[in-house]
Amino acid sequence: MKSAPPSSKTVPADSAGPGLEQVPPDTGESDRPMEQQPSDRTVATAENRYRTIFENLNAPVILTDRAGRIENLNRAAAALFAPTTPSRGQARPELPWLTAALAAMAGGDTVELGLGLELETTTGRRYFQVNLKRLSDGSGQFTGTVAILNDVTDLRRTETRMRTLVGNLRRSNADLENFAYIASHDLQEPLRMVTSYLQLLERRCGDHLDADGRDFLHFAVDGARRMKTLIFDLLTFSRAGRSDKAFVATDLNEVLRQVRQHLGPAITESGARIEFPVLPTLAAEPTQMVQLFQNLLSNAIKFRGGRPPRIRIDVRDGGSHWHFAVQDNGIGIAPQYQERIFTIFQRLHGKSDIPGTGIGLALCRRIVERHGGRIDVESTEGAGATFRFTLGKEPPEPGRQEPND
Amino acid sequence: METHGTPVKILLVEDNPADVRLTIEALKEGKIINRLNVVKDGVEALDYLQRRGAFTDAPRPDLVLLDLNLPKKDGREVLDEIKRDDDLKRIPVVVLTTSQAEEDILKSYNLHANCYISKPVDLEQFIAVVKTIEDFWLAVVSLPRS
Repeated sequence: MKSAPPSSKTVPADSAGPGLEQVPPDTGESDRPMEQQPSDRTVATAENRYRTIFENLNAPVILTDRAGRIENLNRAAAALFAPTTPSRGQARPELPWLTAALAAMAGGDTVELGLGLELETTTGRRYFQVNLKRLSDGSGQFTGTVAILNDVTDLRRTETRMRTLVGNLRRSNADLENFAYIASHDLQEPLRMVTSYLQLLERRCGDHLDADGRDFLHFAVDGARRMKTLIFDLLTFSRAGRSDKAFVATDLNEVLRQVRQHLGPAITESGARIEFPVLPTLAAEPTQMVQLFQNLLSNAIKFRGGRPPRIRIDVRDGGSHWHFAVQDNGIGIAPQYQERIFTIFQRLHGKSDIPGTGIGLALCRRIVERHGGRIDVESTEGAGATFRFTLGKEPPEPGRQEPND
Repeated sequence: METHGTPVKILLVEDNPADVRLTIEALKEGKIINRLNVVKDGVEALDYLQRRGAFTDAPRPDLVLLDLNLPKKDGREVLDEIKRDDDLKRIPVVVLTTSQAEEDILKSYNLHANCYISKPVDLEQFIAVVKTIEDFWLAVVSLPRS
């Protein structure tokens, strides 16, 4: 109750200090006589008190008469809108914007004009949130209006700057994705020619070449083939972000069944054991869920140590999101590489050791983010890795992938 | 197949010379004796089929291999015009393109393409595809005489 605003009717007559704590609860019987019979001194004290508050408020406050002409304005308002307070006898000045706002108020008791009111002030154009409230005398007669202003120029500017930044960011992201898509799509065509003619050369003329010639041709074919894989991966990656397929209720148990089927040969060959509890159903793009779990599981199998892979998937209900963990007993990832592995085409191992283009985890991150979640890894080199990620239970609202939108 | 007196006539509509040559090479590896004619854009393709301009003596092809992305008039328009033409619509049209886009596939079948094939990147596969087209459309199926 300490901060309860004082009401003019409950201010005690001779309260010495400014501290409002001393105001007795207004249910007290002792208030009644004062309410009925305020002395002149009581009124003067109250008037004085409110005038002091009024004058020293940082917020500009303007009082008008019934016709909307300025009756009084505090220092903050005067500094912004008029050089001096009009003295008695002079015609009361008006502020055109205020007159217009009062007209728009159209008899309502209170009006709040949002963040948008742009006003000319002594320090240039500024934005204000304006609160208009009708004033009445003791008998309820309309006597004028009080306008309380809140300078939101800085807020507005920050907001505008943020909106511009988000807009730019979204545009450049879209451009980039479009670029990756077009580049990878259009790159396939000339590459097909390079690959095909190299293969034709090998097929038709291979016998006429000596060992060196065949070696050179082999490297060229191999390079073209790897480029083809890279382009295909880039296309997959850019498609994952562009996809506009609807989110549907997706049973992750079914997803895991498919993933295990796809990875069948690798699971058998490595002797991998995959354990997981009953998994939830969530709003997702099913093919992307398969890609996500398949990439994580195939990594766990691919980056195994000497032992057969033991992979455990755990899930926990985190309210708006499901929290997943995919834990393996593989070779692990040194701390300095733990962020890098999520970047497209970043690889930690030589191509001859472990094959791959370095798309898998970048794709995983993209899929997780598209589903309103985050992914990271916890690992000690040589002692396995745990990939933790979240997936939203509900589909993200359109455009929610960007912050502040 | 060599017993056929007249070689089968194939019209290839393709603007990329490297692709044209590759198709020729792939057809060489097939069993069926064929005569391949090549036009490089959609306008030429329709002139050829309707025996207009420089193509008044053009033979009616037994099969059309049609790329979708062509200069002047693209493959979709060519396909549409062929299938609207009472005389030409019986000629089987095989859409042979690099596009794997769902919309291109759907659009082509909606325009009554006889089949849609994405060109494989790998040469072995491409040769296999061309042989399959040859076998199926020129040996397996029965087509009207004209």
